[in-house]
Amino acid sequence: MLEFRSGSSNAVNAQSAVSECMERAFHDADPKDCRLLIIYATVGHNFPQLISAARQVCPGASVVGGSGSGVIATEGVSENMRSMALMAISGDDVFVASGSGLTGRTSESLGRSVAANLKAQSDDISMVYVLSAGLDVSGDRVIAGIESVFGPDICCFGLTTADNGKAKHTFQFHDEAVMEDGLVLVGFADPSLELLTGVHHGSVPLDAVTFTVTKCDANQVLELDGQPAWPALMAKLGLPADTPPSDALPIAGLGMDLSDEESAEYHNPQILRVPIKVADDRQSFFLPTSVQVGTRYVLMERDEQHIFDGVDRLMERLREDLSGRRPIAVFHADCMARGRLMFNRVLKDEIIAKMQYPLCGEEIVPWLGVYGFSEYAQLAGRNQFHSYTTSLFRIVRKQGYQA
Amino acid sequence: MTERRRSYEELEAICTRLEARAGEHLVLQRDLSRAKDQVDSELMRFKSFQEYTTKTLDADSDDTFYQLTLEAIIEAFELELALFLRVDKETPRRFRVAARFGCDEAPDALPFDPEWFPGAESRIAETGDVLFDQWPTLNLATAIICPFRDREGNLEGAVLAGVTTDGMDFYEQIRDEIRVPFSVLVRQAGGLWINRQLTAGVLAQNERLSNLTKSYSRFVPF
Repeated sequence: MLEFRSGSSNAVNAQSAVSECMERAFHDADPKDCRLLIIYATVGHNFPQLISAARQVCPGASVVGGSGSGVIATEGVSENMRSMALMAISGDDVFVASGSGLTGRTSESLGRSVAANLKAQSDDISMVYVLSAGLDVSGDRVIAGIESVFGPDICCFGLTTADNGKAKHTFQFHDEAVMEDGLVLVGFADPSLELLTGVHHGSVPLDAVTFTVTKCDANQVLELDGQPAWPALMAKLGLPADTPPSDALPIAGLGMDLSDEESAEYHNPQILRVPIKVADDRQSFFLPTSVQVGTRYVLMERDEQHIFDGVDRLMERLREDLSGRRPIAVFHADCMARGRLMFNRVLKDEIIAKMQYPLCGEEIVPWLGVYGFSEYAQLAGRNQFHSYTTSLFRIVRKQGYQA
Repeated sequence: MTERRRSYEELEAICTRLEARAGEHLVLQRDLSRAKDQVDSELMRFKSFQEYTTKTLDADSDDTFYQLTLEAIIEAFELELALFLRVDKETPRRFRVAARFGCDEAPDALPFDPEWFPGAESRIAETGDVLFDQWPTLNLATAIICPFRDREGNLEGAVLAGVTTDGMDFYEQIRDEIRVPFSVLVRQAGGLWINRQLTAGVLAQNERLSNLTKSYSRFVPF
């Protein structure tokens, strides 16, 4: 059976940060039993140094991870330029595969090939943690690629990596390989485990401000309402066409209508897409999903009260799912726009406490969260790709499971 | 009273105006969040200054002191690299690099001109600054440097922090707002450093006295 441990650190020195994380994660347990380390760090850290320091402590473990604009752990939230958090997993039923060359166009094929490598290691994988590049990706196609290998019943969860909001580079790593166009999949094959997902965003539509895609290519939106897409979107915000995506990212969420069933579970009528990358000529932009001509988007506004209310509703639902069980680990993907781009530190700590306390109470539950660009999470029983959400993935033992 | 029916063009103009206001509202919201973030940064900086002082008072060696100082600077100002420079007493106009953070390839010594430090405040160096010409191996794109002095006012050293040209994709340009807090932290570090030197002097003196007392005690029958 798999066992999970977590730790975090704000030490600016890579060696000290890893030591502090390991100390918090392992206490008196032996880190040498660790099979996999999942590490997230902000972009000020030197990733090769972190990986090397981690492997010294856990020489038998694979190391995977990536960059985020902040980390969220049992110890709290940090969006410092140098902060890190890790989840250490012991046990035999966890597998890793990765590949590079991820773009919006290659998402499905790379998803398929990496998933095939993963499946070749175990036929019993029931959930897949997805960790991908964040700037040029079609998240829905990555999911399609994974499902083409594992079938539609596979539970996908995870995130796209981020930087500190500049939207210039995102990093993923698998052992010594540090990539900017990587896809890393972690397969869980422990038959005693079950994944419970909760996802919510707190944005509301500005109903009058809509756009229809009139020209696109893969995940690139070329025209909205017959106009060059990026200037058209910026004009609605009253911003100049040469605005970099980092300046628009927190306020340019685009909503797409959901079905009634999905909308009921989401507590939101729209799912969001984020314009994360702009073409060099500043005429078009890229979304992290594939785009079709005729798709209608509505400009969305983040609403602080809606975010807080939504978290309360989400936690009520999550408590019901647990049926009295305590999670054995929680993976958490939060949109970076819900971090320092939205809340001050006090509110951010408050909102995270609102998530952690109902699930963990006074107990320490291993918790690995990261502020990324987008999220992979099930909605209404289907694997979906989201942006601007809080996505909580609780790993629990199945009720009545007997080995 | 009957209300006049608005024409399509009028309604369109109203709609455009409202859309523009909605856009302005979003931009205002974003700017407000940025302002909140800056306040948070100031508070965190203040907190890290306090922690720095507490930690360095317990530093058991000069190297630990240097390292704690540089780590505090990196943490408080979110910069890529930092150097602790000490005036080389044997070679005029040369700094010895006492400690480095985030730039392992920095040389062991760097030339300087006292005229670069006319006062006690820090100064920001941008492209074309003499610092960049004289210290090209650091590959700096933006930097801040602040001198510290001994009790007689002589230049004792300086602390440099900055971002390399490669690092500019992640780090911000150094803004004037950090000039004062940077000076405060470096002066604090300078003061602590001088105190360490004085304490070391007093301890050495005490030890000498203690040894002398022991050696005289052989002749004094207490």
